[in-house]
Amino acid sequence: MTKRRALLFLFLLICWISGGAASTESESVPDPLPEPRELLARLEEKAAELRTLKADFVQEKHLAVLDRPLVLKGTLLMQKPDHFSWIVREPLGYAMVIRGDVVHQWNEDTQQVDKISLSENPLFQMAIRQLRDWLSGSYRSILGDYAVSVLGQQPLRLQFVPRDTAVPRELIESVTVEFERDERYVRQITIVERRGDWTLLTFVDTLLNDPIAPSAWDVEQHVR
Amino acid sequence: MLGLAAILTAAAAVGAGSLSLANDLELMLPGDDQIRRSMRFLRESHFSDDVVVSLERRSSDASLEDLIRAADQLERSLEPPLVTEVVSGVSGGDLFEDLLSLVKHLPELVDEPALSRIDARISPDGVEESLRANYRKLVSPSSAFMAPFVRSDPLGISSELLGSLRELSSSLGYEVEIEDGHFVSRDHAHTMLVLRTPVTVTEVSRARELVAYLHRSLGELPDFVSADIIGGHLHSISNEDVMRRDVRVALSISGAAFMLLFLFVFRDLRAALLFFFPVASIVVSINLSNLILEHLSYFIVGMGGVIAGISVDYGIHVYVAVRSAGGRADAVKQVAKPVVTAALTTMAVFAAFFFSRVEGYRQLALFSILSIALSLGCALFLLPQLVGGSRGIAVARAPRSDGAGRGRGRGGVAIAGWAVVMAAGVVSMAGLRFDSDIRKFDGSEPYVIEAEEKFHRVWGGRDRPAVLVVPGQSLDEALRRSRLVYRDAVAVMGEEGFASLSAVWLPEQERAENRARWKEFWRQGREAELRRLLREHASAYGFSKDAFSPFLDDLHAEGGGEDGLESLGIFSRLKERFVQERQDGVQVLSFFPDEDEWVSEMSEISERHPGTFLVSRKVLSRALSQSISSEILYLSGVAALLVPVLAGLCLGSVRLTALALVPVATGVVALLGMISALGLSLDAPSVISAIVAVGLTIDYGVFMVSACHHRLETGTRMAVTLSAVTTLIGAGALLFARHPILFAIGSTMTTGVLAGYVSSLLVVPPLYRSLVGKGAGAR
Repeated sequence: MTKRRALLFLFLLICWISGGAASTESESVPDPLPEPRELLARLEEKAAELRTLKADFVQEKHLAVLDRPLVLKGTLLMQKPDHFSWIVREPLGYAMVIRGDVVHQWNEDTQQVDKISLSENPLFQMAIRQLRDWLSGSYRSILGDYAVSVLGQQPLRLQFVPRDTAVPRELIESVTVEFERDERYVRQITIVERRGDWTLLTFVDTLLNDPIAPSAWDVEQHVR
Repeated sequence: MLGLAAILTAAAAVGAGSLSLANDLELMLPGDDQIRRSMRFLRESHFSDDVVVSLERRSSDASLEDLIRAADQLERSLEPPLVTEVVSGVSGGDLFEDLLSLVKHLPELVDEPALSRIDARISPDGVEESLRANYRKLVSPSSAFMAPFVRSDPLGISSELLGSLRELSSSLGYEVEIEDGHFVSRDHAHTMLVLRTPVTVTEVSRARELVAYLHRSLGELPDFVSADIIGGHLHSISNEDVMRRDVRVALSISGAAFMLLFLFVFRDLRAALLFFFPVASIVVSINLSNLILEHLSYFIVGMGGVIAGISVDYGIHVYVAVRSAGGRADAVKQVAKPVVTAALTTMAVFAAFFFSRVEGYRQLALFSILSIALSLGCALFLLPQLVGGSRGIAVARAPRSDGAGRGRGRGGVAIAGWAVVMAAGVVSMAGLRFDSDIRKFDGSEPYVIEAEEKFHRVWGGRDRPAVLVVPGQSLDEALRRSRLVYRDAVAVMGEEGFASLSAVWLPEQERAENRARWKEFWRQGREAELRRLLREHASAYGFSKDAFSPFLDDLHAEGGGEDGLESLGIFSRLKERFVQERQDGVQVLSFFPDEDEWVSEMSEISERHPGTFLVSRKVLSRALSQSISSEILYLSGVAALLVPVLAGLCLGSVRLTALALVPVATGVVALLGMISALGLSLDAPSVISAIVAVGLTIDYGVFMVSACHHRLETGTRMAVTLSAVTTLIGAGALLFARHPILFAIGSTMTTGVLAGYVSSLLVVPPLYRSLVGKGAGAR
């Protein structure tokens, strides 16, 4: 091989290597993240079709007061506009059914059903509202209290951070919501509190728009 | 001389225009201690100075959240100095921090019975139960809020206290719900903001500034929001607007009518002096009265037209006498005695008001007497010199009455007719009611009342609670006394019915005793026992070793002092509602339903605690009624004594005095009968008017009796007629008043004076002929 052929070969080799690297880089650069508001609008559009939701949940509470995570298992029911049911089966029987402004609570220890008015209990109202907001799909209305950013697209993960003027800022550091691939409902919610406690809530076996019997909203049905 | 009078009057007019007059209804109320104390409390209590803005979502396209955002926008736009604070709801976040901080104050807030209950929990079963309850809290969806409380108060010591605090802090006395930390109505179409302002309801000019500022801010709201402003400031502004308008209208009508009357009846420009002197006297009297009294009431100035109508009588009689004598100024001597008698009797009526316990009535007495005295002086000394001479009309002499024949027959009919009317009036008076409801004295325009009606339909709160007020030189003293009252009150009506700061905020001595007791409690081995039990039982639930260190490590902390409690937002907000700071001390307020049963019970409790008092609308209304009723009887008695005595002294005869009182009796029976027949009630302004009518009608009686007795040829009938007409112009002008007080005065006086006038002309001469002399009659 003459010197000229060697140099040509080397040149072509270098070009080939550079071209391959360039194509590799272009494949590895992710698409730019979409604008959060557009995403939320898209999510709300899909959530608008949702009338009822039934899902089993596993909730891990990592609390400083406990030396190990508290794992709760139970079932969530939701029916728009204002019916919400939270039934815990393990480790302690607990049922909470909300219809409009009124909350009925039961637990297996006391076996008593307590009735609470949300409008007369601002703290309880705030706690329940957090859960309903994340599950209801009305994310654009939350933007007044939270700044939202997109953490990932496949699956879609959004992070909500309370604004300085928002009421939840006293308790919540951030809320991360992960959606199922079809983005129709939530798969997982992670809530990090200002005091360091955090909660991971995972939904499984989710059924959308399945009819829910009226008796399901009677807390007595869940008493055992 | 006239020029000097004109200059003086002009100066007085300028002075009167710049005066700051009092627009305080309390001036027209009796000086009863209980009433004044209640009225002063309502006037000085800050919540009567609060302004409420109710926002309504007018479009169904807008959501409640949109309305709340608009409310937030409005809240941010309102700033000092006119608005010092805006309360739009109860923030869940603020409440959470406050309640958590409150746990640190347990040592001073937990009393001996509560410590006994804690003692019962420091046992294996007790600790087990507490831990189980805490575990349940962590299982519920609200565990994020519960976890800090579990750590700070594992035994649930604060639960009772927190319940009381939540109830006290959530309620404003309205039917509200809390949504997103904001007050919303039950229909979720309204939200409310309570504005604190340094502008009191009695500072009308600043109130106008405040309302204008609010309207500018409300103008920035989105189109789907409508707003109503509710508060005492609107009433003050509206009352002043109405009264200013009424005073202008009344003075304009009466002034114009006087001018027309004298120009067209007398056809003599100098007749304008008859109008000028009373008005000048009024204007000068306003300045003099204000100088003496410091703050003359608007209500009293509003009666200026009536006083002018009374005062012009003296000038009329003098003028008619001079003109009847062909312009001879010395003709005034013929009428001087009856004119002075009439003025004295009228002044005697007003002098009775000096004995009143109502400051407004005393102001009326001074103002009226000054005005009448000045007018009398002008009529007797200035007017004859100015209206004498050959110019002007000659007053025709009335034909002599022979006192018999046709005249006697007509007189008999008149007497009979009068007797029938009097009988009917007396019968009608039997159904007379007295109404002391002070709300009818409110002359606010319809838009103010309608806005409040709408507000109460949405938010309730129409039935305001009664208040039990406990004063003290300092907050701690007031709290100490309030605590004693609280114990008595809850023993009677339970904690739920009696909203009191003393349920949660203890006086310093009690807090110090609690702190000492708390320390001693834990030092006696209970701390060690609790730590041991927690170690033994907590791990079964997964609680960490230091799970309850926030509670255990602070067991011996001080956590005391008044400042400590007040530094908590929740206590600071409670203090605003339940504590009033005054120049002479502090008042702690407790609220309970304003119902007869509870008012009666609380009255008894209040009597056992000297210095405390109740403020109840119902009690106030009853007290007013009793006080005004006794005031009426008292003043009527004084006037009933002064007038005949003075008339008798001047007339020198019982029979003549009785005759002079015929118009008085007729006027009183007529106005009282009219009020009753129309289904109306007698009220304080009507009483004033009735007494003024007495002062006027006695004049007619005195003039007619004097004319009959002394056979005066001074045109008495014409003069009495003109006097009555001018008075009726003054009183009648008030019939156009919108303010209920001024209208009541006008209608009462018009009826009384008209009846008295008619009887003086038609009944007094024939009665005189029948009872005193034959063939006599007035000319």
